[in-house]
Amino acid sequence: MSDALIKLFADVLQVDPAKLNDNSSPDNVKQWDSLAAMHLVAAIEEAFKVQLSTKEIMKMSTIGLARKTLQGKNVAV
Amino acid sequence: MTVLPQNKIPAAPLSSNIRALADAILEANPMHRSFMTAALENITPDEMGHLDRYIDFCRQRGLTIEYLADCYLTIVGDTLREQIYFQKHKKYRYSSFAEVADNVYFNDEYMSFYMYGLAITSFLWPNHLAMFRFFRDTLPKNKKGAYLEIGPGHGYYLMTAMERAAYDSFTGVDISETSVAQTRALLEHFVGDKRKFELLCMDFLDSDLPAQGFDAVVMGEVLEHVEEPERFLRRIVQLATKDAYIYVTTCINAPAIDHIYLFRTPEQLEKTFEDSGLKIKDRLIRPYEGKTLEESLQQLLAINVAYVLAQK
Repeated sequence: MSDALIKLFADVLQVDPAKLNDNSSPDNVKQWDSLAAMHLVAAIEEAFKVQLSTKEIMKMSTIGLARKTLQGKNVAV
Repeated sequence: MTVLPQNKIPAAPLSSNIRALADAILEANPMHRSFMTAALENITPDEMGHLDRYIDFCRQRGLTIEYLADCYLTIVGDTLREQIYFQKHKKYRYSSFAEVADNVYFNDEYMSFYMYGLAITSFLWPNHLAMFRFFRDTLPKNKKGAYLEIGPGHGYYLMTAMERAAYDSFTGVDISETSVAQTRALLEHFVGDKRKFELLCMDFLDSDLPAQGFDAVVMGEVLEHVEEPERFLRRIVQLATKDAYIYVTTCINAPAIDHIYLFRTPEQLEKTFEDSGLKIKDRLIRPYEGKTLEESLQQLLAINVAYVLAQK
C-alpha cells in the first residue's frame, strides 16, 4: 500500500487499508465516529505538517475530500 | 438553500424549525450526520417542543436558521480544536481568566454566538441534555424563598426554574453583559411579568448579595471557567440558607476555548466540594458518549458532572 493518506486513515480507524478508498466516509466506515474524527485531524496535521481550518475539517466527509483539501495545500497525496 | 440528499437526517416527527436547523448544520458539516441522527433520537417529544420554541424565540429576534447553525458549529469546531490541543499537551490551552475574558466574555459578537450555540447543545449533546434533565428533575417544585443563579449564560436554566418552581424571587448574576442581555430577552419573552426577577452584571465574588439569603443556588458550567473554584463554592456556602437546594455542574477533562480550570477526576472535584464546606446529596456523572468512566478518564475524554449539594 503506497497511498499515505489511506494508510493514515487505516491506522487511525484501525481498519484494513484494502477496505478504504476515496469514497470511504463516516456513513460507510463504522469506526469513523466523532472521536475518530478528532484523532484523524490530529494525525493529518502531524503527518503532513499542515494546519486545517474548522471549515476545512467539517468538509472532509470522505477520504477523497480530505485528499482534495490536502492537495489544495500543496501536499502530494 | 439546497441540501444534498445524502446529508439529510432520516424522516422523523420533527418541527419545521428543528428540521431546518438540522439540515443547515449538516449542510455545513456533513460529518455531523450520525451524531445529529442519534441526538434527535435522544430527545423526548416534550424536549422537542422546548427546542422548537427556543428556535422560534431566536427567529423572532431576527436570527436566521443559518445563523443558529453557525453558532452551534462554532462551538463544535472550537471544541474540536481544543480537544486536539488537550490530547497532545494534557492540559487546557489557557489557565487564567485574563487570557480568555476579552476574546469570549467581553466580546459581544463571539459571546452571542457562543450562548445561542450553547443553548442548542443543551438539547443536541446527550451529556448536556442529561445535565439539564437532572436539574429539571431535582429542582424543588414547591419551595418558597429566593432563587439565585450564578452565570445564567443563555438563560435557559433560569427560565426553566421560573416556569417550574415556586420560589418567590429569582436573581441571576453574570459577568458578561451579552449573557445578561440574552437572559433578559429570554425571560421577558417566556415569563414576562408573571414572576419577579433581577439580573445583575458583575463578578459574583464582588457581589454584595445577602448572606444566607437564598433558598436555591444554581451554578451551571462555571467552575471550569474560573481560576479559583473553591472561592466560588465558599461564597455559595455563605449565601445559601441551611437547607438550600444547591445545584452545581462542571466537567472533567473537557477542553473548550474558555475553560481554564482543569479538573482531572470526579474525586478531585468532590474533595473541592468537601473542602469548601459542602456535602454531596446526589450526583450524575456522564462519561464520554459510548465510553465507560474508566475509559474516559484513561483516554482523557470529556466527562460531564452534576451535583446536588448541601451545606455541611
